[in-house]
Amino acid sequence: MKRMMVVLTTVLLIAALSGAMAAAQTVTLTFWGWIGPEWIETYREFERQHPNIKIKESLISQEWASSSEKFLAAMAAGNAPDISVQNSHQFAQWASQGPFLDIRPYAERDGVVRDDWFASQWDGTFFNGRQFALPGVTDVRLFYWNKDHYREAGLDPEVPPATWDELEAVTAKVTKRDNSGRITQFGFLPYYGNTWTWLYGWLNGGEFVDETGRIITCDDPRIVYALDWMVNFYNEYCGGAQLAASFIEGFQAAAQDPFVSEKLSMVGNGNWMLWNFATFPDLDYGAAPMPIPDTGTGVKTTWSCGSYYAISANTKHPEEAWTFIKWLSGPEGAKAYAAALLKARTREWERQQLPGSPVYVPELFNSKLAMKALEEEYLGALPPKVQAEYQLTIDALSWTHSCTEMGLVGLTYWNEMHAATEAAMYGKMTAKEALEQCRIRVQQALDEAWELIKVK
Amino acid sequence: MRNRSLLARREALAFYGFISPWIIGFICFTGGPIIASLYFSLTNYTLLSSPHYIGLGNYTALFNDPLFSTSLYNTFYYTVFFVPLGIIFSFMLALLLNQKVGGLAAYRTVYYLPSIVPAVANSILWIWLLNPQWGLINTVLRMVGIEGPGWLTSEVWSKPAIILMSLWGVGSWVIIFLAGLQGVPEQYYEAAEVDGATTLARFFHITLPLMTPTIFFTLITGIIGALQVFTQAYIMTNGGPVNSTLFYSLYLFRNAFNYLKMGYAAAMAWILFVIILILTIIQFRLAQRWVFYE
Repeated sequence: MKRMMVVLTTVLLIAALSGAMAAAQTVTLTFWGWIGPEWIETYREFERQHPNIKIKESLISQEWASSSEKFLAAMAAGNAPDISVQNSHQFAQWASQGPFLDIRPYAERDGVVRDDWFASQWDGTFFNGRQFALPGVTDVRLFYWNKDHYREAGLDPEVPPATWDELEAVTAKVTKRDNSGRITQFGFLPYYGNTWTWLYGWLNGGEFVDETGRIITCDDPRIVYALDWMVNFYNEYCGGAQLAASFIEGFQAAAQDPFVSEKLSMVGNGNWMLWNFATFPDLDYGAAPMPIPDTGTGVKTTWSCGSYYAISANTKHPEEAWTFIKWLSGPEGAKAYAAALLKARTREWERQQLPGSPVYVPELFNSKLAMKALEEEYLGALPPKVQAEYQLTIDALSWTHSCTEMGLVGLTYWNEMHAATEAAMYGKMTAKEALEQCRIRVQQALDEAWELIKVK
Repeated sequence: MRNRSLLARREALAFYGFISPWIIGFICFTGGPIIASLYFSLTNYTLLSSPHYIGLGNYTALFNDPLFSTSLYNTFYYTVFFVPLGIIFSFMLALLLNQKVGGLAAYRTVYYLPSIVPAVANSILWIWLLNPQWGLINTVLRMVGIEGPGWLTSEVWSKPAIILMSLWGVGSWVIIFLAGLQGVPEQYYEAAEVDGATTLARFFHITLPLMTPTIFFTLITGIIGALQVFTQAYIMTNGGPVNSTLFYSLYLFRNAFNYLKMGYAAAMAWILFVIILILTIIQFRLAQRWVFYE
């Protein structure tokens, strides 16, 4: 009896000890990012594959694209989460202040090299030679047109405009007016969708910041030309910017956007619209690269933005945090996320009772390895037309510009470019004046920001 | 004599005892940061690095910043129209809601309700109401033959649209006016009636003078509140079009949280504080001429 007690106690003791050791080995990482159901499923999948790491996720910000006061305050107080999602277009400014861990040593150790990533977003993770993030998902912008409208206007529905001149000619043909001359169906609205003046500037071969990253060049004649063209386009084909804005605002209250409702024949918008369009089986549309200007400087291009996963400099678990961001941005994370999205997509198909099998267009990942894994798994299942469109979005990643080119004061630049565009479109200033003013203001902000950088 | 001072001391002790939670909270969570912000306004401060003293640099930069004056202009525009209109509007509503008619509680609830709708929900609702094509406002205007503007996309109409929207939420002012109206002694009206005063005369010679302290209170708090207008523009227009709704607080917020220019933003906050202080002092001076205390 006594012996049995000793054995039992020993067993219990060992069990308790090993339990405690296992608990001690489990690391919990705080992660401020997205908390959509598909993302949460992805994090749980990570935990299944890595039993010693737990992810405690919470939403970083509702207004993630522009600011995260919560994150800023946490950073300033030294309470930052181990890992956070950052928006690439303001990343440089944040990274320059030194709140993130330099992951270069880990990346070099594990063979995470530039060749395995689409360069546009990868390069933006660096500041002064140090790497502060891994790029996650990204996007591209394309030109979409309504084939039915082309047919009605007697145009070849399979041939999109290749140049801005052609775009104008097509717009003139597909625009519809009522008897009093009011536009009832718009052809194309340059600033609507997700283009921004940035896209037109880049399409015309313009550059917004010089190579040193210290000189703002938004009054580059090529960009001035692009904005001028936009303004003229609105005046000539859209009844002026204000009327067009009013038309678009009308759609804010409607469930669908004007292109899906077939009140707008052509639009420049993100690849995420493919996802949306697939749920409208009656919409006969085509997708192509944006038309380019006839100036001789025009280039086939688009632009991309996206998310970065950054580790806080003061994390206690850099190794585990690195494991997580490498997983999340790479093929395993991409596959887990895609699987969760496909499930959601299937439910959506059932809910809306849409015809055929669910059309699932995977997200664009910056990791080429992730993209390869997704292509292998999902490309074959897509209808040929969507397959070609998805292929085009992947292609575009090799000729895209990056929003990180907005530089060290990305958000200031973004807001000032928008203000300049509005000023020109509303006729307050000429395109040249507006962009010159923009340059002066952003240059001043940039000079100040360079003086305040901490990562030298 | 001794007893009285003891009593006074006790009373003082009780006073400070009761008020201490607020005082401690204020000093730690509001007072401290306020004083700190005065120092930060003299620095370059990104919040992620330590502040760097630059003297009055932020203030001189502000006076050369065209967006600073734009935002100040927009904010004054809003205040100049919203506060008087709000006072007149809520005063009139309070007069109506002070009548002795059936279902008064229901009316009062209906008019108060908008002011407890969260600002964000309120803004979304108004985006719909102001929608140029399908919005209720333009639909009603169309019925009387007016083609309403694209409220939030027109640089001319964007500020009036936000003023209109704010007027919808004056319920809390109505409550204050209602309380004021109920404090007017009934016997004055009775005496006036005996003397044969008309309704209008009673309003101008009894109600209005006795309501001046209430009007004064709403004027002061209204101006302070209006100069800090933020949410509507942040959600509905993000300052546009052409910066026509870039209000002072919105620009301050952008500098602080989007551009990481905390020092600059702190300087803006202090300028706004001084503006509000001056306006309030002027009002207190002027009040002696028109505010009537019983």
